[in-house]
Parts: sequence; C-alpha cells; structure tokens
Amino acid sequence: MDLSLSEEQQLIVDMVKRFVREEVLPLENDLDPDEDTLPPEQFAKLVEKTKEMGLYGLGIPPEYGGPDIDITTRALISMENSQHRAGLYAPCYGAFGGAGLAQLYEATEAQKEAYLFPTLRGEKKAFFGLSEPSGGSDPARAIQTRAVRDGDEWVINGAKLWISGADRADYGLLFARTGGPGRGGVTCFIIETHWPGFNVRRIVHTLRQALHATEIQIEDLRVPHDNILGAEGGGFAIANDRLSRQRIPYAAACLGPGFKAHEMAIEYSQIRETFGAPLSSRQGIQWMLVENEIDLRTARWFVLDAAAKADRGDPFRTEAAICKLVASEAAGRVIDRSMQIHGGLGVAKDLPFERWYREIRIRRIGEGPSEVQKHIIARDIIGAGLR
Amino acid sequence: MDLSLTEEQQLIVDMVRRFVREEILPLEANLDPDADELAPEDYERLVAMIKDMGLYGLDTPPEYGGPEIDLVTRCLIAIECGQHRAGLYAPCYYVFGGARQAQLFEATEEQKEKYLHPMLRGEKKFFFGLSEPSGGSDPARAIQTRAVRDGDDWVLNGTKLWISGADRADFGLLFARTGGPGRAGVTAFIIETEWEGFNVRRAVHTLRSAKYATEIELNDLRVPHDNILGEEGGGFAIANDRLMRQRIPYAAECIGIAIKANEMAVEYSKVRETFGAPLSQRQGIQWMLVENEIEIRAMKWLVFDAACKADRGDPFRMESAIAKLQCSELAGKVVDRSMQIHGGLGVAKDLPLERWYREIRIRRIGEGPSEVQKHVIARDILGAGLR
Repeated sequence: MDLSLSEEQQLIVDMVKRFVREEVLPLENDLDPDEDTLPPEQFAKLVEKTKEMGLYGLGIPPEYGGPDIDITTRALISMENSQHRAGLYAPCYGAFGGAGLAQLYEATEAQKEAYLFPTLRGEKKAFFGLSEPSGGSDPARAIQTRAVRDGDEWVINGAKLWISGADRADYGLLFARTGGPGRGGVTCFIIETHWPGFNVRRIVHTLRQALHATEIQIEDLRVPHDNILGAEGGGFAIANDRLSRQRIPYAAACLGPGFKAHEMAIEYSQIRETFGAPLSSRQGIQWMLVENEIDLRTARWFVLDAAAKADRGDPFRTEAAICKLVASEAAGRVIDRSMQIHGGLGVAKDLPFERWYREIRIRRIGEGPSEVQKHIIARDIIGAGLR
Repeated sequence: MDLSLTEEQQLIVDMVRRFVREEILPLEANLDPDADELAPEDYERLVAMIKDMGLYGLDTPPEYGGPEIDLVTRCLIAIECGQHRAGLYAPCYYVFGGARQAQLFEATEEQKEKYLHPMLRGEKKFFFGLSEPSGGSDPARAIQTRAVRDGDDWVLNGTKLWISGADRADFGLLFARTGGPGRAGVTAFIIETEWEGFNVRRAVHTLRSAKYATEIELNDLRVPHDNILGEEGGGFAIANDRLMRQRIPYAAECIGIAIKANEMAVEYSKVRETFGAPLSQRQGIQWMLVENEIEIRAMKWLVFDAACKADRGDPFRMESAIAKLQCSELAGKVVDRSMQIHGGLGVAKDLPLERWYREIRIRRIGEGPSEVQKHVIARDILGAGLR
C-alpha cells in the first residue's frame, strides 16, 4: 500500500493546476457567468497547450490516439481541471478533448469508419439516447421505445427525454425495445439525426443555465440492420457498462469545484471581519471548514479506491457507486457551506458559487441518482437476492 | 500510488483474522460479558501462539525485540484483532503484547534498566499520569500539580484524574508544573507507586464496566532528580508526541468492532422476518447497511492515509486528528445502527453490541475529544493564527 502520488502523477497534477490558474481562470473574468464554450480562437489556443502537455483526448483509449494514462491519473486530472467556474460541466471548456461515446470502441469496423473516427477528428457530434419520459433510472425496465424489424431495416417509434446535445448532434445511440420486458429485450441502434422520423421536440431547461437537455420524438424512424451496435438484445449491457465506468470520472469532477470552493472559503474567512474579529477566529466557522476538509478527503479516497480497482481489473461496481454517491453529496455540502461563509457574495454572480450550487445539485440526480447508487451498493452487500 | 495490500500484509491480515475466529471468539462464549482478562493459562497459551506468528510486541521497536512492522500494517492488524466482544479496549485480551509507553524509549540507560526492560519482560506495570481534575484537554494549560526542587529531589503535590491502571502499576509517568504557565513549565517524572506520598484515592467508574480509571493524590511525593524523563520543562513535548502518535492506532481500533457489528447486522437482516419478509428486503434497512458500509470504508482510508504519512516521515498531525475524529464518531454510528437492526437482541448481554455501544462512546472523549480534534484540524487549515 502506498497512498502517495507517483512522481509522474505529481508532475501531471502540478502541470494541470498551473494550466487552470494561468490559462483558464483569467479568461473567465471576461466571460458570461453561465458560459460553457470559449470563442474558437481561445479554444484552439488552449487545445494547442493541452496537446503540448500530452494530455489531449483524455477520454480516448491510447490505441485511438489518446494519451496512455490510467484511470487513477485521469481521476486526479479531473479533480484539477474542474477547479474553475464552468469546471463542473465544462472542465477547461473542453480543451482536454474527449472520447464522445465510449461504446463506439466496440463497434464494427464499418461503424467506426462512419461514426467513431469522424468524432475523434472533431468533425461529428454524437448524443447518447437512453432515458425516456417513463424514467431514466432502471432503464432495462423503463424503456418503452419500440423497434420492429422490417426486412433489412428496423422501424423505431417512441420518445427520449433528458438527452444532452441531440439538437447539435450528427448522430447518436438510441436504445429501443426489440424483445420482451427487462434487460434481454433492449437493443442499441446508431441513428443519424437527419433521417426522417427523428425530431427534437423541445429543449428541456433546468436550473443549470449553460447547457440544455432535449426531448426527442421518434416516428417511424427507419434504421438499417447494420446500424445495430453490438448484438441484438445486447443493448442493456452496453448501456450498463457505460453507466458503471462513467461514475468514476463523474465523481472525480464533482470534487474540483469542491476543492476550489473550500480554498476560497478558507481565504475569505481570514479576511472578512465581523464584530471585531475575522470569521476564521470563530469556532462555528472553523468547524464548517473542518467539515469541508473531511468531506473532500473522504470523497477523494473513495474516487481513488474505485479508480485503482478499475485499473487493476478488479470488480469495481460497488466502489464506483460509493464514490459517485459520496462525491456528489459531499461536494454539494462543501459548496453550500463555502457559499454560506461568503455571505452575500456567495449568491452573487460575481463569484462562481451560485453556479456551482445550481450545477452540483444535478450531480445527485445525473448518472444515477443517489438512491439508485444506494440500491446498487445494497445489492452488492446483501447479495444476489435483490434485483 | 498503490491502494492494495501487499502480499505480506494480506498474509498477516488473514493470519490474525483466523486467530481471532478460531482462538478468541470460542473463549468468549464462556467469559463474563464484561471480562477484559483471560484465565492465566489461556493467556499464556495464546501469547505463545502470537510469538510463533512473529507478531508479539507489535509497537516495540526492533532494537528492543519487537517485530519491525510499519504503522500501516499495525493498523491493519488492529482492525482485525478488535473484532470480538472485548476487542475495543482489550483487543485479543492483550496477547499481542505491546510497549504502550513509547516515551521510555527516550529514557536514560539507567532509567531503561530500571523501568523499561522489566516492563517489556512483563514483570512491571506502568501508568500514564497526565490529566487532572482541572481537565484532560489542553494539558499544557490545565496541569496544576506542582513540583518544587529540594536539593537532589523534587517534591510533588497535586491530583491526577482518569488514570488507567494506577492501582495495579509499579511505576508511572507523572507530569507536573516546574515552571510558569503553559507548555514550557511542565516536566515529566518517573515515579514508583510504593513511594510515600503517592496514593490512589478512588476508582472512577464509567459506563464501561470492564475497567475503571483512578484518581491519584500526591502529598509531598519526593522524586529523585535523576527520575526526570527527558529535560526539565520538556514534559509537554513528551506528552504531546504520545498524544499525536497514539491517535492513529486508537482510531484503527475503532474500526474492528464496526466491521464486526455490520457483518452481524447484514447476516441478521437476512434471517429475521417481519411482516412476511426478511429485514434485508426493506429499503429502509438496506440503506442503514449502506451507510454502515460507506462509513467503515471511509474510516479505513482516513486511517491508512494518516499511517502512510507517518510511515513516510511526512507531517501527519492533521491526518491523525481527522482519523481519530472520524473513526470514533463513525464507529459509534455503525454500532448504533447495527444494534437497532438486532432489535431486543441488540441490547441483550447475549450479544456484544451493548458492550460496544457503551465502550465506543468513550472513544469520542478519550485521547482528545472530537472537539479538540476539530480544533487541531482547524489550526492546520487556517495556519498558525490559532492556538
């Protein structure tokens, strides 16, 4: 057991920390408080820098041109590159690149040619269409969108909800029922957004103002049989694998704004005087900071534990669920306390707290709400008896 | 960074676990629920087994005959050997031996001859006399016991409270004020309990029925100058070093009973049926078990973090305070929930839960109460401004 960062990890962490402080934070002074994209020339400049650092394409496997970095180090990077105002949902405004849809690495060669490679080159955008109006949790049972075989094609009818970026995407993954109820009846299709029968019905606004989700209507959408990703009836396994793996970086990214909020609260408490003494000399305030510190450290170990297990190839479902649950909840508390210590400034758009406060709330629901994580953990504790 | 146990650590953990299950648990079936000692023949038999395993005298430095085991591994052992009824305060009924009074390793050769070596051979017993009726926390300021020089002797007058084992000890460490107020005014004396002027005034009973503390009265106790441990005025440093180092194993010891309590609760929840279904099928109960699981894992990582830093020679004051705070608080919660799941059995002396429940409560006060740990953590977060 060795809980210290390797020399290489420390170098990378320091490099990313410097990048955020020197390149990203200054830009935010001139951006709208809810901004989540940079002007193209600034974006290109930052991408050039992450490429120089050898850190571009963090979500991409090394064999497709991504940097050869393990999950633990990626988690450490996520905790750093999210330490700014837009950091929770747009870490460094996307300058570290990303994979798009990890499922496509399992695609056929023809599918990779048509969809994966153009995405990696930045030419095409994708969406991930799993959730429906009937609910996002427990998708194996919630999916009602239906696909019926018709010769060499499938005809799909239904609706999808909470789908990010479908209005700007060129193609996407759509999960539909091709068989009976439950897991074995779901198949994953790659569909193109310009095909007739695919419609973005409306934008779904949330307390997060920067990006929106969409509702999609699918009416007699015809999809070639060759556009099935994986096996017919194998859709749930594809979705589930993503959900499980995605939890680790998702949890790690919650901690960046948490760390930053805590750091700001410590500094502010030492400057702000009330009733003749700085806030930092009041034990009530001190203990709020102590709780911040403990929340963050605990969540960080849970993230690193899950990442280490995933890196070693050990089972990590429980660990991924715990880190997602704890990190999203803990970061929410830390941001709330830090906002409180800042008083009126905490709720002003001058500082990033109010944006973090709104956005972190979504993290307790997105990628499986806290209650579903607990359900997963309980299943693993108690054994196979629970479904 | 490597979060997994080494092969050697895993071997040791497995060995200690087997020892607890095969040797300790069966003995407890025939012991009083509050016992904290074994019959001498059982004790000697088990000590011989521990010596065979090479694990006797765990915290004794190798130059004094102890096995050279790092703090992380010692914490792993502490977590295992606390997993039985008496395990919190009498882990494996002390058959692992142990030095306890680490200060004496800094003694003069003559002092070692007279006190340390007989203690390590098991011939002499020892007490640690720091706290006073004026309070145990912040001892540098609370100590009122006074030592006045008289030729080659010092004359001590005062009272000590909460001193464990003083009524059975042959000698002990007494901290007394030789100078002005504050840290530099405190000196540590080695005193023998048969000397005139040393009196155990009463046993102090607590909610822990196995053992009691004592109150000590010192009336013109004469101590030779050569019995000063360390330097005149250097007593606080000696006490403080012990307090800080002691926090890590003290924290680790809390984890064992929490693991055992949770394990029992998981098993019982599957067996006990109410209203037509086992408790384990009720989501309210499941989430209690999920909280147990998360808190146990959090305790472990915080202890390992502190132990790793101490092993590496890095500063670990904040980490040890966090570990002590969280382990004592969280283990209390785990024991409480597990007791609740057991219903009436949870409070019966048939099971160890009621003893753990009483004893774990003390851990939030002993070795520095939770509030002092938070004070220590806040001081480190906010810098030197706080005292």
